[in-house]
Amino acid sequence: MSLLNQKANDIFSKIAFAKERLRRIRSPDRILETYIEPLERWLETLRQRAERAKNDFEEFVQDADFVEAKHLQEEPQRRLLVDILRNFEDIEKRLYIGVDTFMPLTLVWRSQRKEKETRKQHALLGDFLSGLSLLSGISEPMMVIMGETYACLPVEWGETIKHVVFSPYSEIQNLRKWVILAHELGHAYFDLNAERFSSGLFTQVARKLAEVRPISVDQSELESAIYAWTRNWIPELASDCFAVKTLGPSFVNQFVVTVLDSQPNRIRSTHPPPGLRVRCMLDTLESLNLPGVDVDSYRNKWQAYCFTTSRPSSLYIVHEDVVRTVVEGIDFIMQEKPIEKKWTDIVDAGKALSLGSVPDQDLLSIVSALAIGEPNKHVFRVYKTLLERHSGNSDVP
Amino acid sequence: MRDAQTFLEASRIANSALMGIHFAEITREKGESVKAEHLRKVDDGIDLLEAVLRTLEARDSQETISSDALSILYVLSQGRMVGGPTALKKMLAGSIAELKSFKEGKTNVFEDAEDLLEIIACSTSEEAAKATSKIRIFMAEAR
Repeated sequence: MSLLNQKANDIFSKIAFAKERLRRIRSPDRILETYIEPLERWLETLRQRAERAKNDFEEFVQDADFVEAKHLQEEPQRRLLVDILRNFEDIEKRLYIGVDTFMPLTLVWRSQRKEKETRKQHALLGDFLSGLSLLSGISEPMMVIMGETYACLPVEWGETIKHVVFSPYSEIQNLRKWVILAHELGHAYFDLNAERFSSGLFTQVARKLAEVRPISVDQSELESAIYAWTRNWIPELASDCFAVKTLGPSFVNQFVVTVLDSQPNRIRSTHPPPGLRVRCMLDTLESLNLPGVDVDSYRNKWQAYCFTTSRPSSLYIVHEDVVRTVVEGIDFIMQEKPIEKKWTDIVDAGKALSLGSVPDQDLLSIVSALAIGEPNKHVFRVYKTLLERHSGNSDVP
Repeated sequence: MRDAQTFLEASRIANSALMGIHFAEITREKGESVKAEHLRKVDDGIDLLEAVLRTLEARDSQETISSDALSILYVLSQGRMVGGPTALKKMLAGSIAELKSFKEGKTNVFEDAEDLLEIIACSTSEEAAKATSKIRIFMAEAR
């Protein structure tokens, strides 16, 4: 068998393995099953593509009289073999992204939901994420995994896009930090509404960057800046905006603590500078006009560190006109303000917590109230109570 | 992850168009007629280049642009072959015309199209590999 046919066999074997593994998940829970069906469909599409790639190779062998004993000299034949090999590389990369990254997560998910040590924690975390999704109007059921960091991993299987959310294991008992998950859910919101962001806003930002770029900035740098904004920074700022409009000051308070470091104005292609993010968040928070929220106190605290340690960058990529275009664009697209219907519950939960009791309110309100309050030992007691309160909700036998 | 998917898709289409071109060239050399499926691949390549050209033009006229095409523009701008937007627009329009002419059998020689598709296929594939390695690190940690 030729080398490339052996490679094709390896691909078929991987796909068959993945299909078999999916079949062996006999009774997936209601969340996991929303991942299995699109993945199975996508695996079949990929298998058919691998068949076509194999056929292309066989056609090439005939047309180019290719034999493994000698290499080809003729130009179109030589280049066609490159194309064919690249096609196989593409299929292998897709298998990695679509199968090898995702499928082990199903084992982690099932194990965390079943193990005695983690099942209650997982049920509580799952309820929190469900509450957050419900409040913000996201209907996609999402897996949440106790992992290494806060993250939202999108998995794309053909036309279907699903998300897996991660929460750091070391902060599983620190309910105050859970509000950070609102930002991660914001990424799912962005992906589900990607068209609304890319139509219009992306053009405006690209134009604005072109307008404000200094003469010394060449086309390549400009394209990098457009790419950074449209592929990374806008999704980040949109997720921030989503989180503020969903959880208000609870999110802002914990976010500020999380990103506080010695370089609040550093420029990275993957994320906007933390100083810029906090500034945008505080503006959004101010626009919400929530009763009893002193935005200036948050602003002053942050600026005490941020303005002492560094100055905002003067690079054109963070030019005021560009930032304003983005922030106004996001605000226009994201008009929902779920916090407005939740704020009273959060304030009430906060009052009960300050009296030392664990309120009867929903999980989201309690966690949000904790996130604004001062950290104390009470948090762990609340956690233990909520753990028992929500363990009955788990659908794991 | 989404970056990797976007780049992979661009790379797949460009590479598929190249396959169509090279299969067609070999077939024509033998004096045989080109299979319709190979010409369809060339069509997909034309669609891809047209999407990039439209995006480049739309940026000037405040119209909706494709975010995937923006990623391709980014990749193209990182190479040395393509200069400013004017040169790129000319190259894209020229390549589209060449591919259409090739499809109709009027020409078998490319000035720009083949190289441009090659750049897109290779560079986007490299970007996808970079994005994939980030995922690899993330997943290792997450697990």
